[in-house]
Amino acid sequence: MADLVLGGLTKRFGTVAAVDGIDLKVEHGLLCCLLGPSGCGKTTTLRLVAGFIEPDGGTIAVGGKLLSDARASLPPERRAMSMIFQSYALWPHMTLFDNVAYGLVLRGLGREAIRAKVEEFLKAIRMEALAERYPGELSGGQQQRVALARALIVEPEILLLDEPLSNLDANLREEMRFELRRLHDRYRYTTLYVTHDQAEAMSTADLIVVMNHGRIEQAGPPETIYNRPASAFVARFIGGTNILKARRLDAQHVAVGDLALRCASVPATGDLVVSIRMHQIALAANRAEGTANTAAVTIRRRVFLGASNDYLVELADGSQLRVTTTPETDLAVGARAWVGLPERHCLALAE
Amino acid sequence: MKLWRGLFGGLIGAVYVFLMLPIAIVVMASFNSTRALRFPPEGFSLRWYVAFFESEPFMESFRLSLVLGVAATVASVLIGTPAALYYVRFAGRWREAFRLYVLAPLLLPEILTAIALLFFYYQIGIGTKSVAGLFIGHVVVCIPFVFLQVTASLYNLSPSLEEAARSLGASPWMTFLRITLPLIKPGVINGALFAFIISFDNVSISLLLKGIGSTPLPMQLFDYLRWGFDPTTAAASVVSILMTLGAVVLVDRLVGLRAMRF
Repeated sequence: MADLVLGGLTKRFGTVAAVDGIDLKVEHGLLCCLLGPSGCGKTTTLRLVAGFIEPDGGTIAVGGKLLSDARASLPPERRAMSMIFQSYALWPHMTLFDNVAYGLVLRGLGREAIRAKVEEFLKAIRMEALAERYPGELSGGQQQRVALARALIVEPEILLLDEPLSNLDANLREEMRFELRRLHDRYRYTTLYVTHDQAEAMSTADLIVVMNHGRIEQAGPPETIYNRPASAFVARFIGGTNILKARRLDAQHVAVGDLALRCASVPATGDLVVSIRMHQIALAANRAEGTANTAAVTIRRRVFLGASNDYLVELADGSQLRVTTTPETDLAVGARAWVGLPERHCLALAE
Repeated sequence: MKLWRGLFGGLIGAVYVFLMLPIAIVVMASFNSTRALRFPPEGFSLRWYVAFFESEPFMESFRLSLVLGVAATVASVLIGTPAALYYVRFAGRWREAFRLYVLAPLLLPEILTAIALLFFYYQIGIGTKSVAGLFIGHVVVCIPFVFLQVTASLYNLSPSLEEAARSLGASPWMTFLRITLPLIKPGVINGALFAFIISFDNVSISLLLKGIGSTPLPMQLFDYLRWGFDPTTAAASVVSILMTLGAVVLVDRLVGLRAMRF
């Protein structure tokens, strides 16, 4: 069982801690996404796990076996991990067949065994017809599929992916997400996947780890990250939400401007914000009877998106909210209207 | 636009004529049938080529220059390539100092390098008695050319190509042999070509460091011109030019085009 455990992992570049005491456990067979803005330490974490750089503190262990600590580090070639790169990193002087076969050649397999296995894997990525081509003759999507086959064929304990889809165009990226997930479900390697794209993380991961300034902001399944962000940073990064500055009134209420909002729970101290998802706000011409958390607004902008309407509305104190509604909601720009902010969707978060 | 293009083309043509004309004159003069080195040549004969190939001193120098050129090329590739690899991939704090150190023989006037080496050889007692000093001098001036070419190739080589091999289980040495070296091969070959040419017609280093009885071809030509002025020197020059051209064509045929395939 190859679970991956990071304990207090730290890496400094000069005086900056790129990775600052990370604790993480990825169970065997799970796909874990490290998600965060550039410079948050996610790629450094991945490279530490791969063994390309050595930690200044903390430990990396796979299946209970220690690979790295501050004193000693196993080199990458002795880690039973395969890494996939943003730039695909296929070797341009070798055919696809030779690229995929290389890991097996290194392991000293016989020619026939190698041929059979490479053909099986090229079939799995549906590229058996192109085996004798060179990487330069392939599209980006094809190259990345070959890189996947090359990485999977050596049956690694851990699969590492460094922004594998960032160089592909939007349509292909979506297709490749499903391809990645399909291959993961088939081979079930413990996988660490670095991305800055929250949609990519949502659609592929079992476990999302949101990172910021070298630390973990929140780790959990995609649903939890989306519905219950632990901090204002996570809510902002996942996006699709309104973030409003707020002041604590009591354990149930916060004030946004001069509007009092009832929230599910309110942190006891510190600066607060309230996060309300754009599609969880009700927008109507008239005030809904007997509901709390309502406010009068003016419509400032309306964008028809086909499947939905995207409104920008302004509260009495001048702060603005984005609201996504059904396409049937029809309110003119400049009109007065009412928003309803359901209590369970108003998340008061520490800034 | 058209006028400018015409003028530009004319200028480039003029530069080429300026560079190539003396060579063309030497080539033509080598076929002179008279004793004096004349241009335009009188008659046509290969007697000066025969004279060159029959001259014991010239042949000795020619062989020495060939052996020296090949040896200096091999040595400078063996030193310059790892130096470039260290500079691009691993050098830390003293990175730029290291680069200047390797390139110094190219940045300083060559004659200064020669003088410094000469002093050094006498200090440590080897003087110019053996051909080893000459060899070391040639290697020193050849290394920067290999270093520059290989450095340029390495900058175009993404480290992730090497990391991919490491993560699949290749040791650093295996990664170098199977991934890095094939991919920087064009740079190594170009560097080697430069090194050979630089060594084969080097004058300044050879001038000071050549030993008694070990005179490279350019020095032999130089000495010969002091006493005589017959077309043997022109024939020798043509043979030198053909050597250099031959090396370029051979390398291109053997490895150049294939190395560029991707």
